[in-house]
Amino acid sequence: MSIFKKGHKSPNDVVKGLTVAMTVLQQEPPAGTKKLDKANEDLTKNLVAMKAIMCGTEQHEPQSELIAQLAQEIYKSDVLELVLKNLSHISFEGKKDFTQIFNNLMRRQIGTRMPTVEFLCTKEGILHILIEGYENPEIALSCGVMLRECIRAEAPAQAVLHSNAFFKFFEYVELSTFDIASDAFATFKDLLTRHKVICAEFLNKHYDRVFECYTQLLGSENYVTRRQSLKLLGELLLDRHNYTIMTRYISRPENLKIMMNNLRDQSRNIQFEAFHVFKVFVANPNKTKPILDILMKNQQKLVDFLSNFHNDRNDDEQFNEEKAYLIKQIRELAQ
Amino acid sequence: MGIQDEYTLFRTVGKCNFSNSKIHLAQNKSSNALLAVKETDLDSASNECFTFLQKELWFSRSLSHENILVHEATLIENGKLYVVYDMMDYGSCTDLIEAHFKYGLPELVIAYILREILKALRYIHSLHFIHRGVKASHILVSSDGRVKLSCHRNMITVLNKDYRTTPVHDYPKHDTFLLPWLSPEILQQNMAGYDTQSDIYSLGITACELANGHAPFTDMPSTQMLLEKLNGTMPCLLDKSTVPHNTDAAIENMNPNMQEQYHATGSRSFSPAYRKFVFSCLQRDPSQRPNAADLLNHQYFNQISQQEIDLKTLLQPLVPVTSKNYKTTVAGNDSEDLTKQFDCLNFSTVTWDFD
Repeated sequence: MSIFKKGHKSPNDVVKGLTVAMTVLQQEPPAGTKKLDKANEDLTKNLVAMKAIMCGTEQHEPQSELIAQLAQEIYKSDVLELVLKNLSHISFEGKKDFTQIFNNLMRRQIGTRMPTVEFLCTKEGILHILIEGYENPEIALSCGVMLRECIRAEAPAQAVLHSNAFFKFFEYVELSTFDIASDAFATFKDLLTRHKVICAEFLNKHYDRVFECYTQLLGSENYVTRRQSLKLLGELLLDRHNYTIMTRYISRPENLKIMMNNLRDQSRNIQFEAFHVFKVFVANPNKTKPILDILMKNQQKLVDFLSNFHNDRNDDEQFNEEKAYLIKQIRELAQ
Repeated sequence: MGIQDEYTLFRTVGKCNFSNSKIHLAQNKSSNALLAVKETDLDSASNECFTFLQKELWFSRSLSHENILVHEATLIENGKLYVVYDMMDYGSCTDLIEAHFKYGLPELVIAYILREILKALRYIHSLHFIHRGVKASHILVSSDGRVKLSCHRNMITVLNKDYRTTPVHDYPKHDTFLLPWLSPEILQQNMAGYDTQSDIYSLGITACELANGHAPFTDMPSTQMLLEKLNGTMPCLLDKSTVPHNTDAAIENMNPNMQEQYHATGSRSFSPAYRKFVFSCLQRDPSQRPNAADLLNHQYFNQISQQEIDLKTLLQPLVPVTSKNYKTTVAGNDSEDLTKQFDCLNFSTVTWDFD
């Protein structure tokens, strides 16, 4: 790459160049004008130069001294926010270049310190820009990739969870565009599962609001939303960090009703995922009165139903054991 | 918004994903453009398969190149996933072979197709991805001369977490039908791993497949295939110079199929440049194989620039799937029947295979 041979674009120049180009693009000069072409050209040039410093090139290993300088320049400026705000003005490949630079920067580590994570904590706006990226199909996946990189670290994940922005995910996972909704769900899942202690704290604190929204996902018209949210719910409830959340969830009769309805859904996968939540209600040794009432009322029906439930899953030993256990539990129920 | 609001679905023209997905010929209601719509019943998809569908679409959205098939839209309705693609009206290269070119495609057509696929590979490799699915059935052709690589679900990056290139050790376990096309270094599963050059080996196998009408190594058990590949056995193009000459008496003794094959392959000859091309792609040592960018300058491709390529003429008597009464039947609940009906039609209609 020429940048090393000529050796004249310093990290300072690159950040400045990028800022200038991006500022011009932000004003959306009309198509076909020289101003626009020049800005796009400068943008590409500086992104390539930045990537070369950050990630190295085929011929050159990245140099830690240059990376450190570049990082300092970036932290000092508002360039990250500026670029992210205007990501849709960047070309298809340019977005990917920027994503690589961003993620590489996020992973930067000095001893036990993660300087970019620290920087991010002072710039919560960046996280919000990334989250809202899901609303624009052109930039959604790039933002998703960067956002998941950010929330690998605890502090940014916590910041997202405790901001109102988290609740936007309940809309994003229902987007009609399958691939974007899938990506949003992947991020949503990371947020709720990656940092166990923080997630449990969050779920406890915001239990009512979260599960009110979550219940809507479980009743969604969108097959994918229902299938994925049921599966995730099963995982969340069975995680020992979430013990108190589980107890709370399985004490409420309306939740049991949802699962019993899903057990009878016409989709086999939904039935199966619902089974893995339903089993927690039945296996609970301290069932609340309303739960017990529902189970008792349907005792024989449930036994019959479960006896015929997914009998073709012969090779799934764990499932069959669990099913047998549930049937036994329900049979032995007595008020 | 439902799928029927935006598109009119016509008959099923193919299946893929181990027959879990149907490909419909379709028309965009507002632009009238003809498209291919892949319909997958998600409830019959296992969680693993589901992840693959998501992965393929994710890769598809991160690629933008004229020789790579990417989706235009996705939609979920009644537990079914609809993915809208560009119409590639000749179907895949496997369709071409099955429909008419039993013993291989004309060399000029192959050169044209391979050059286009090399452009796709050069792009994919520049992004530090390995495609791991280069084979005739994943190469789609259209009557206006477009050639696209499809099926991106096995793609993998050669970048590590610091975004430096690093050998890959992942072994693609699920798609066992791919094994004959995979490079010896992927199959070997050793510490050295593999890189983007393994796609070049697959391209070499595909080059033989397109020339011979069948892929090498598909007629043997996989352990034997592995040994042959590790020993550096190099498949060849069947023509005058490689098919051993037989006496008339010996030919008499062959069964009719073999006789037909003997006459078809023993009388033709491929260019020396084509032979060299295949030889360089199939080198046992990955570092001895030229990369995609180098291969694009291979003398083998000189024959293309000397003449205009008119696929419609070169592929006769095959005709694109869109050229005949595609509107006669509208896909609905009876699409199974339509598939059967389609199967009965002659080679003027082509089966799709996106895998």
